[in-house]
Amino acid sequence: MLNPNGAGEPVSAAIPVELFEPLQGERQRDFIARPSIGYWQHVWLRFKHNRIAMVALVVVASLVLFAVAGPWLWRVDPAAQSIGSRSLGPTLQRKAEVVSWRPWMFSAAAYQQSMADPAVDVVVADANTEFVRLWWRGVEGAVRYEVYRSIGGDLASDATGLPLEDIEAESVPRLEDRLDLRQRDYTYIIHAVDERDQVLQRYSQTVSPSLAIAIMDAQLEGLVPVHMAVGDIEGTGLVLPAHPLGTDHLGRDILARLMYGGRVSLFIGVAAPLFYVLFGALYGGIAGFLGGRTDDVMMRMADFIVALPFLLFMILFRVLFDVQPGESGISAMLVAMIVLGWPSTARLVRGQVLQLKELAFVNAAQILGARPLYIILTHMLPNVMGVLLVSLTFAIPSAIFTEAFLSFIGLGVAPPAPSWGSMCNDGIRTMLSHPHELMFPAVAISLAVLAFNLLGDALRDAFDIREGVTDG
Amino acid sequence: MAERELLVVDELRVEIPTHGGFVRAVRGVSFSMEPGKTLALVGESGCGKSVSVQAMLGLINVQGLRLAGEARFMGQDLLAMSEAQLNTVRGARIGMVFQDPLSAFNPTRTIGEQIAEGLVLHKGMAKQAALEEARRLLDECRLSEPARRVVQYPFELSGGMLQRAMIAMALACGPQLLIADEPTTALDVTTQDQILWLMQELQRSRGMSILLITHDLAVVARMADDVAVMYAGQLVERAGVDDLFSHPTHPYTRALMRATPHGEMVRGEPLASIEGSPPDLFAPPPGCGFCPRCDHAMRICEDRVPLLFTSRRGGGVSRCWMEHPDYSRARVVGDA
Amino acid sequence: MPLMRYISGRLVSGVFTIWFIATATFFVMHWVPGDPLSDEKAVSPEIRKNLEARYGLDKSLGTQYWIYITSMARGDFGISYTQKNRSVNDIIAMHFPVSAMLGALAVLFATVGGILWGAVAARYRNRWPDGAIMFAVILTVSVPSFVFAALSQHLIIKLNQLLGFSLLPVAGWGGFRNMLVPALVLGLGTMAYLTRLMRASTLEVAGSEYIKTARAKGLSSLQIFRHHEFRNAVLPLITVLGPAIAAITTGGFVVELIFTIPGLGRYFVAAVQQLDYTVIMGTTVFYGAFLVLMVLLVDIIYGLVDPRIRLQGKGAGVRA
Ligand SMILES: Nc1ncnc2c1ncn2[C@@H]1O[C@H](COP(=O)(O)OP(=O)(O)OP(=O)(O)O)[C@@H](O)[C@H]1O
Ligand SMILES: [Mg+2]
Repeated sequence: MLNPNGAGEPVSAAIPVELFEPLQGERQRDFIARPSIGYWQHVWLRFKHNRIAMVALVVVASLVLFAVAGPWLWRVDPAAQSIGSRSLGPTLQRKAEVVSWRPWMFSAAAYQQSMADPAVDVVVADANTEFVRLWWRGVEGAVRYEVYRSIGGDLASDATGLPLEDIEAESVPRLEDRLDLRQRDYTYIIHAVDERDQVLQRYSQTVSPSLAIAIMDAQLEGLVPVHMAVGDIEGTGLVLPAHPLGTDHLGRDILARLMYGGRVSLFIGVAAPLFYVLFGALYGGIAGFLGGRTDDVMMRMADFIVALPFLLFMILFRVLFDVQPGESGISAMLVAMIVLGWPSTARLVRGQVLQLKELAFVNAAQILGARPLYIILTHMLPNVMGVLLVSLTFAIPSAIFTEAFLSFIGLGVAPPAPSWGSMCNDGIRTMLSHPHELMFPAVAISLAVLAFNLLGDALRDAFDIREGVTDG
Repeated sequence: MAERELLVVDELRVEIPTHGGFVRAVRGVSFSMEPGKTLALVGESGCGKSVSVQAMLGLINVQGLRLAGEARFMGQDLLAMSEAQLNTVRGARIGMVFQDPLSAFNPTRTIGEQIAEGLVLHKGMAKQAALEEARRLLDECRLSEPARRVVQYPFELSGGMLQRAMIAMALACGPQLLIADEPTTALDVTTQDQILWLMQELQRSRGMSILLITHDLAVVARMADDVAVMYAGQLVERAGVDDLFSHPTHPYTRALMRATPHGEMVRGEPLASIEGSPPDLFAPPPGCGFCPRCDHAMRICEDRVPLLFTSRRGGGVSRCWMEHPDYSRARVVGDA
Repeated sequence: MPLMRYISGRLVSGVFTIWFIATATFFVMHWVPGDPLSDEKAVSPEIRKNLEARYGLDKSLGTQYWIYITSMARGDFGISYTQKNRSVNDIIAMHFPVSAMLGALAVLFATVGGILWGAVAARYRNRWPDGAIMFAVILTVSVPSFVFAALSQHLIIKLNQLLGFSLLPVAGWGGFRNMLVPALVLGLGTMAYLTRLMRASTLEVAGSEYIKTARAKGLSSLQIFRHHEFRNAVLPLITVLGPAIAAITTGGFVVELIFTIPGLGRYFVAAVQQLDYTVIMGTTVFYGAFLVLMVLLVDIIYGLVDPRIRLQGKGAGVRA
């Protein structure tokens, strides 16, 4: 009634007799498991084989190196302002001419001479980034000239641009422009207007100012010796420093600020979690280990702390530490993060300890008379190490975020000390015209947070901890 | 071709991918079942009983699963069916009962809803009618206060009650085959007894076949018509229940019986345990899986997998070289 | 009635928590060096006395605490230090509805989006939609919200320029059009978090035994998803909605600053900068109480939805 033969292969030829001899002697009855390796080694192996983890590790290491060692290599003062190079995009070294501004000494003869050629309507007398000087052919019947400036070369025939000045018609119609000049093409539009506001004539002239720096600025920024006579410097060439990541709205070098800011942001981001994870672990470990009423009361406390509105209390600590508006509250921020941050780790570790307490080996150690502290150190610590490391790794990005957030709303690190968050705060003002000022610090924050998050994920996988355990 | 058998499983192989490689969980299992009869599938924990039946029904939801062999149910190969085709068989013609009733019910839906679901799906019943039918089924499965149970949630019922409800759920659409995967392991002894009794009664009244997975030989003796013994992913012995108990052939079966308490034991007599552990299913040994633990192991056992030979004494088959026709000749020669 | 017991238990602990928040706020503010009136310029002794009397600073600490707690309990948060004719209640009443509206819309975005994306990612596990969604999630949680706010503002400007008319306002407050983008930005981080959670939750449910039972019943994968997986996967998400609302409410500060929305968050930041003590205290306690209430509400909803709590008064730990 059963299938007579379910086997696939046909019964082969007769089997040699000696194969039916019984096996003799002691035999290995258990299968040999593959060589067993230690827990930590296992974790490390799993971690090592995770490519994302290794990339994240490299990114974290580079960021730390960037912040710690960077300022030694890139010796630029992060607080040094430069009026001449505000909000620059990334630039290399540039040659500039030292100029000095004096009132425009104007010669009518020169004007007449330049207007001799009927093909020329507008003459550019000077064009550098400190000042642009133009004059043009007067128009019969015009009472004033409206001058506009716009960026770029070719313009539509009716476009105007930024209104610069209204100039009364005098003997020599001319304009001096010193308004935030950059090293790029400008087109000046001149409308000659009569008393009924009719445009009689339109001139347009494209100008490319050469890079120049005022003597005063050069002296202030230490580019030329202060004691040198003005006459000796004027007209000489000068090399302006490079700004690989550009400058901010005060002309400060963004690369240097990013390095110093990284020190602040990463310090807060790592120090605060380190302290509160350690404290939380100790707290939770003690609560879990002692158990009973003590445990109840201790965890109740933790619950209360969790219920406090986190960011609001972060800010309250600023008031408590008497941080005045405009001051940096780094220590207030650190203390607040530690005071408010520990409960999640405490809960986590307590849960682990409670679980481990159930396990036989701890009981056995207890029966053998081991002291509680000894039990915690020798049995429990290695077991909660993984959970701790993972929650530390996840705490870092959230601390970096908190710093950035507080500095961004102006209640964290305040200028002139840079932090990535306060740099974003600065950058957001000029975001529309100079997006790089926001972009670079934002990228730094995102990169750090991303790397630590990925690292946390990888560690969680390596330690084989259930997802969701570290979500507090 | 019309088969008399309800289910014919032929050389079923299942390999499950894991991080450490493929687990060769089932390595050639063949058996068949007749209508109205009970086949017991026995073997120690981890030998691949659950994987065999679940693979057959397409219930192992693992990407990269490797399946081979055939499982013909009423003449159609289940392994070759598409998901949609399988869905017309599962629940409708084959009902399944799982080991742990509490985790086998969705905790957030009522018992009634979960039973009615299959009826709505396979029988096209209206929701209300299906709930009424669910009540009737619970009654048939001897669950007290069936009308109240319909609107209760799984956590409100005890394990035994839940197992009855699960049987009702499996039987809802009147299947020809009931697969029960260790239906009583999670229950206490009295409840176990009641559930087994219920299954026997239902089998009698409905005339269905039961594929019963268990590692309890007492249950086998009581319920089964035929028995298939598995070891390390392979079928090692197959026989009618009387044959098996009177003439267990395979050394593993015999060891299993020695390890089970039974009526004729003398008080104080020690239960034999099987020395050693089952082989690593990631890299099964080249020869007989049981060889390392077998007291009768021979040289051939180490490197050649035995076929299923017809047992010399019983009416079944046994995957053991000692049943090979050449074995007795060799013994005679060797003894001489 | 297990459910009533559950709810009353939650209520009691909620009241306790609010009391703790109020007390903590009071003492934190009391440890502040100097007294709140020390900044007042050119105050004659009499006026100072008057002011002290007005703010109750001349009484003992115990009395002050008692007055503070009882007036808080009555819902009276006092008078602003910097705007002497405005009560803190007025300020809250004026600015909070704005924050609440923005927050509610953001919570809506976050939950609907999170559930949807998470469910899609889980259904297409290890295939490209899953990869794309999870990549977006990890990116989203790694970029600070103010960057998204700034970027979206930039995009609105570009879009308006492109269209030649103002499709969406760049900043300010008014109708629904003003809320749309800020709420989206505000909800983004939480949406990413919920997406992740929903995916994990769905996968956990998908791996459970009862899904195997459902498959053994012959249900198609879509039916299983609709009738078993989705519902059970969403349930635990409700428990993190409380903390999510908290994150969104406090995250509102940044969005309100960037989009110049006259919400309570922006006002709070200003109050801290001006050291307006009563406003700081009042707002903190108010926000704290609001959050506790939200968590409470979410817990109660969860209790109503989850039969294990509804019928037995116990179940999965309610806070995440
Ligand atoms: N999803 C899976 N992934 C990896 N390995 C699996 C999976 N399911 C089962 N296995 C492995 O397949 C083998 C057979 O498992 P199976 O569940 O069929 O055993 P069983 O005979 O039913 O045992 P029990 O009596 O404990 O139920 C085991 O070694 C198990 O580890
Ligand atoms: Mg099993």
